[in-house]
Amino acid sequence: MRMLRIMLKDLRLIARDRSALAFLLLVPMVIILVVAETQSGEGSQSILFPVVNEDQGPVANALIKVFREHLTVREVDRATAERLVAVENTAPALLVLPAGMSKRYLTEKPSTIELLTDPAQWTELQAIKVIMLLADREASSLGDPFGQELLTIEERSLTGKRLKFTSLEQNVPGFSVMFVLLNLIFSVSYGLRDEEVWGTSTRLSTAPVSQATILGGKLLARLVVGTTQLLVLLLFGHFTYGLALGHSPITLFLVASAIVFSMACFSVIIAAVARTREQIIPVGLSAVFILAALGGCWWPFFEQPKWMQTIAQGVMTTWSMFAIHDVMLRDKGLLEVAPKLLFLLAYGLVSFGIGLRIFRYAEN
Amino acid sequence: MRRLLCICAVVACVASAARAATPLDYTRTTLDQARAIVDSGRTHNAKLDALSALLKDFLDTDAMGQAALDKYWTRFSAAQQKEFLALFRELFQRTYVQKLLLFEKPDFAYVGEQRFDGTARVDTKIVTPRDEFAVTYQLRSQGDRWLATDIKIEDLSLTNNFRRQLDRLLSKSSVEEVLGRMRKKYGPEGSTGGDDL
Repeated sequence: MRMLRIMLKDLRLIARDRSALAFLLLVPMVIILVVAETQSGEGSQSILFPVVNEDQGPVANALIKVFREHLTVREVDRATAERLVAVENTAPALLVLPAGMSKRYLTEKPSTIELLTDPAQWTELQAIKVIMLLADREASSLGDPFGQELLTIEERSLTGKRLKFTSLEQNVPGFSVMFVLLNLIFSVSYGLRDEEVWGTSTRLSTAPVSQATILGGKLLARLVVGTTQLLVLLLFGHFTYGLALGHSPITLFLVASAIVFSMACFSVIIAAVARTREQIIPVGLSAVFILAALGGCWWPFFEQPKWMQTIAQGVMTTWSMFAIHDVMLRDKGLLEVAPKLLFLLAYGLVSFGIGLRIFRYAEN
Repeated sequence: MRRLLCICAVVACVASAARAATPLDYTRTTLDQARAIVDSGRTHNAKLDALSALLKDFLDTDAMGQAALDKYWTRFSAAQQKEFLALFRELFQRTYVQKLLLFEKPDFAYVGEQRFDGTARVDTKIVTPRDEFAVTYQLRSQGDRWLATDIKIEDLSLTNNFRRQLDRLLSKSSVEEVLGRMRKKYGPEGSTGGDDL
């Protein structure tokens, strides 16, 4: 009977924190939805495949017809195609069908087709290669363009020296970013809410320093820890699995710092939303999982459905992963990643501003 | 009786028209029918079948097959020769038809004809928006009909091309091995293979 009373008392206590209760179900539901949406993605049809059709002949048309059945083919000029692959990184590869290819094919003379790639989008690239093999088979009923090796493919990377990457190159940075985010959100939130438990929050609020200075100081400490954590994790990947880290250590350091800055500042918003210590876990976890999933920490960004990609443009994990891939996989320098760094810094400043405005210590 | 007379008259007209058909007219008629099939809304396989049926009476694949085997012809027994010609018919028709089907809406232009003693050469073009593809038909007369004994695309003879491939294969493999390979791709239960033997 006593045990029952204790149980009922505890249930009443739990029921009092309705937000924490709601998050108990909301977190897993949202995560299940995000994972399900990603897994049931649009398949290869969502992959943009720019084709430079310099041939304009029947063989090129037959090939493009087969590709259209599986990919989003866009016939463009070479400059546009290269921009889509190498600058915007919205297409994993482009195909150049050379002038006179049809004539050469019909007269049994070999031609070389260029496949210019962005190996950083390796899952999409693999899908394209599988479809090219499929096209080989399907096109056999349209004149067998690949038969007798009349068409050979020359693959070249537009964005770096390597032609291939493994899933480790996605997973190590992805999980590193996620764990740094996890660390920042929980350490910042708990750090701030612990002030209430210890009673130091009252002293801080009456101290002759602004709240921005207090929060800023706390975040700077987290910035140092988070940046170190991210760099060590990436170095671990480098030394254990031979992960490429790019050619510029300074750029990598600045990218890591900008990523951690944006995340640390965002953590203040989470700390503000989670008004009690109990709410930190559900609110923090949902934020981490959703941001990691949307941002491409768990799977390649372009595997997500288009609508999720659109939403993901507004989260800092997406830009963090973009920046990391630019440095590590595409070998880009500081100037080339500068726009992404500026975005992350701006994201951090705006988040800090919002956090500063909405964060309040609970009154004891 | 009147009906029978009418039928006889029609047959006589058609026969006389066929007799009068020049190699160019004959080729044009066949290619126009081919174009109608390619332009039709049929499925790819239905087009393939219809074109094969049409070209069966236009292509002299027996002559082409024998020419393609060249010096190896005598190496084949009579039964092997018969089987080879049947398989080669399938191979050649498929190759030509598939090449024709690459052109989604082929626009044929007829350049002219040259007649020799019992043979003829008809020069045509397949015109695409960007290019032209010269296709030459070597024909021989057979009764009222003209049969294509070779087709040259941009001066590349399809028969010579097969001769090169068969020569390469037969210099390394036995007759039975080559027939087996062809059987696998072009036999009654064969897969739809490509150009390469």
